[in-house]
Amino acid sequence: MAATDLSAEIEQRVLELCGEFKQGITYQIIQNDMPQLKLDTIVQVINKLLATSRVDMLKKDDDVLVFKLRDPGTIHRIKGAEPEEQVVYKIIEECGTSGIWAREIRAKSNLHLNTVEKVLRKLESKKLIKSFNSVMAPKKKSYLLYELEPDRSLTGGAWYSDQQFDSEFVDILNQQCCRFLEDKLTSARQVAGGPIAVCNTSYVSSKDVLKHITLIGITKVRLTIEDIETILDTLVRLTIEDIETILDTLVYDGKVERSISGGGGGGGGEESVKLYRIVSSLLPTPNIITIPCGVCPLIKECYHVGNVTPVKCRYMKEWLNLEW
Amino acid sequence: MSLQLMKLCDKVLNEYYGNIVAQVGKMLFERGSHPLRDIHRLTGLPRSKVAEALAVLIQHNLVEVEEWRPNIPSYKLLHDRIFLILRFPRYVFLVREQFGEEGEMVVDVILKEGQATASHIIVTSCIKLLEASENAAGGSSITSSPFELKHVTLRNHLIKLIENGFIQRCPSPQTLGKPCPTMSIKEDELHSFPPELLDLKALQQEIQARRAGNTNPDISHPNTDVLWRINYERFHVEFRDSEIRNSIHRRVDPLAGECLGAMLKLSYRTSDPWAPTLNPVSVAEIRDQLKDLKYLNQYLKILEEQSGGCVQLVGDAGGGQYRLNLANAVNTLTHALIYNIIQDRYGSKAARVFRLIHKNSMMEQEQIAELSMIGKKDAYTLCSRLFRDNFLQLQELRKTYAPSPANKTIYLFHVDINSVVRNILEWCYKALYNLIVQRETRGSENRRLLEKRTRVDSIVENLRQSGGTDDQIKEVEEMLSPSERALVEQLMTIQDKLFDAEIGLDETLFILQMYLYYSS
Repeated sequence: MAATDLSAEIEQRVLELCGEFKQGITYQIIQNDMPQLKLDTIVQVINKLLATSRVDMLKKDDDVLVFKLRDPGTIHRIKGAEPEEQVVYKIIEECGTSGIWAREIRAKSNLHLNTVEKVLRKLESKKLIKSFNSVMAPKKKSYLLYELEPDRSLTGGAWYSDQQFDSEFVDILNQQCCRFLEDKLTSARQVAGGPIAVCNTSYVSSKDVLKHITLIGITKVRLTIEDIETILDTLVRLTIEDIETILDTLVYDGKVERSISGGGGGGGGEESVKLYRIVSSLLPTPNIITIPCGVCPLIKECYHVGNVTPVKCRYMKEWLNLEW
Repeated sequence: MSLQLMKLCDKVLNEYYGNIVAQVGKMLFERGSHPLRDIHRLTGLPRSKVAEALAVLIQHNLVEVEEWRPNIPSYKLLHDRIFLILRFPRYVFLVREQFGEEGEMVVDVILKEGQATASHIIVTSCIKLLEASENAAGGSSITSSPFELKHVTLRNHLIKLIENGFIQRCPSPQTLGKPCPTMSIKEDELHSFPPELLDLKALQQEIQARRAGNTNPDISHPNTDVLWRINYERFHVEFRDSEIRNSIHRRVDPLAGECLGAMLKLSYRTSDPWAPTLNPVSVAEIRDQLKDLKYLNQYLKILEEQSGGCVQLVGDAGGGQYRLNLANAVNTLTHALIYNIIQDRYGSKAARVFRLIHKNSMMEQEQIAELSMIGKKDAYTLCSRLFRDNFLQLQELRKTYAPSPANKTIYLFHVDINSVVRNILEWCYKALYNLIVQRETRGSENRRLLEKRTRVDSIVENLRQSGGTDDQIKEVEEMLSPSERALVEQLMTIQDKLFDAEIGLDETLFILQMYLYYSS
């Protein structure tokens, strides 16, 4: 029949287009390619392709539908598997790097929880998917495709090792950044040409800080007893954003000042750069802290009568070198 | 007004003016302004004693007279002034730095007397200075000629202090013979010294008579009804300015501090030093003041950026118009002070959390942990610790008020600087009170020892004056055993330490009080 021939032809053409545009095609592209076609026909063809799972339908940010050729590998991998496995695999695949909980898979697939778990175990043993624990909810297991890395929001990025916040690492970086900026200020003080020149040279961009940090090599290696690939992955790479977070903590410590430079003068296309500069506190140590009452944990309970009184105070006596 | 402040005032009055004055002061603090009759009734003190106590308080500018009912005066305690007594050493020190020894003596006498006539001030300080120089010379062979003119230099210093506003004329009663005098003074009389008030010859006569040992010479001065007293505000302007200058000095460099100092001085020519924003000054004027400063324009730019809103550019006339916003400056200083206190008391991470919340106004715990880069548990602990000590405040957000597990209540942390300041202020009062109590206790525990030492010292002094031999002196000195001597030494260092701490604490108090002044 001519109609089927036509639709087969269109199918072929759509697939060709998909092959041409690796990032996917929209309705608009199909329409432009075959202006004689009606929207209905295109929809029919697309639906057929989707049903035979030869293309994927995706949605872009601006709500435009995009069609992409399905990776032949996935078809191959899941081929011959049981339909449950296919369904579950598809659900997990859809979630991409953000992972999905078993419970949600069950809700989406309408399968019984036991079945889902069985299927998951099977897929895991076939090394098609893997499980991991998110830092947000360490007790809930999430699944994602084997070859994907979990999203930063789930692993916590560079700051987490083994789902634990690595505060020591943060502290070390914090100190190192601070030291680097301090050195910059000392060298800037030697610059001739007035206070503004000193001020400007003491500013450092986050990029430079990152360069310095990578250079001195404070990156941690998280060793797990997995294969060599994992080791390569776990070598945590610090990104500019990571360093900026660290520098921001210094801003909140009151040690550093942030300023934003507008793209290096006339370049136009250049992005604005965040600059950091170390500053000293406006005031010296407040005097109240230098006396025992300033750091006394019991100051609230201290009255002229009772068990905690200034006369009986041990801290006071220690401070005054009296025996008690 | 608080319990701590009351306790502190009570202690200070007790220490400086004795028990009865303290009792009257406490009653006035607790109950506000009252007439004599009620004070007498409420304190249970004899009427004459109450009257004396009130006279002392009025003399020292601590009590004001108000008209309570027609022709019945009531007395109002100026409690803010009371713990300014603890600041006296700082006033004296400041005058010493700016006006030298003579100025110091003048202010010292006025502070001790509360209100005094110019002649009294000059005579007393002159005698003190002469005594001090005699002691320093170590003998009686005083060359008299340069000291003859001492009262003239002292008068000049007094006039300089008055003209600079450190000392002001007390208001005088305008209606004589009424039970409630209305005190008032003309603006231009406040800081000018009419030369006819002093009779230099009479001054010299009195000094000589006093020096000869006559304690009550019958010499009359023309100024008996003109009294002078300290102008606290003027001193506080100096303190505040030096705090601001020092902060810039620390943040940028000494020259920037100098630059700001010059701007302050220029601004005072045209504006009230206590206004939140001063009138603008132009770059040309500043350049006139700081001719040697090489990078003036650059410094001004840096000051504008880094002084925490203190220096503001308002126009381009005259090479650029800069305005000083002292309210902002004090605000910035107070914030820095609070951050420092938190950092030193709770650790730098707590300070980070506090600053983070302060900058972002309202924050949830999760966000705090994330942005401050502190482990979640630690961040929670820090938040709750700061919350417990009233540095943070909690805002509850609910969708509905019906309790249900489904709609989670959101808790937002935020900072109310005003309450934090008041909190720390309270805490400072308490600390100050504790220090005074500690000092008193140390003194009274060892009273006998101290008395013995004073006795020994005075005997030694007498022997020296009367020309006793070294053996005699040594014998008397041995009345104090070495261990006693060591104890006295230790006691003295402790007293000094406590006293230094009190003065230091006052600096913290000062910044906080400035903040409250500008925020009200």
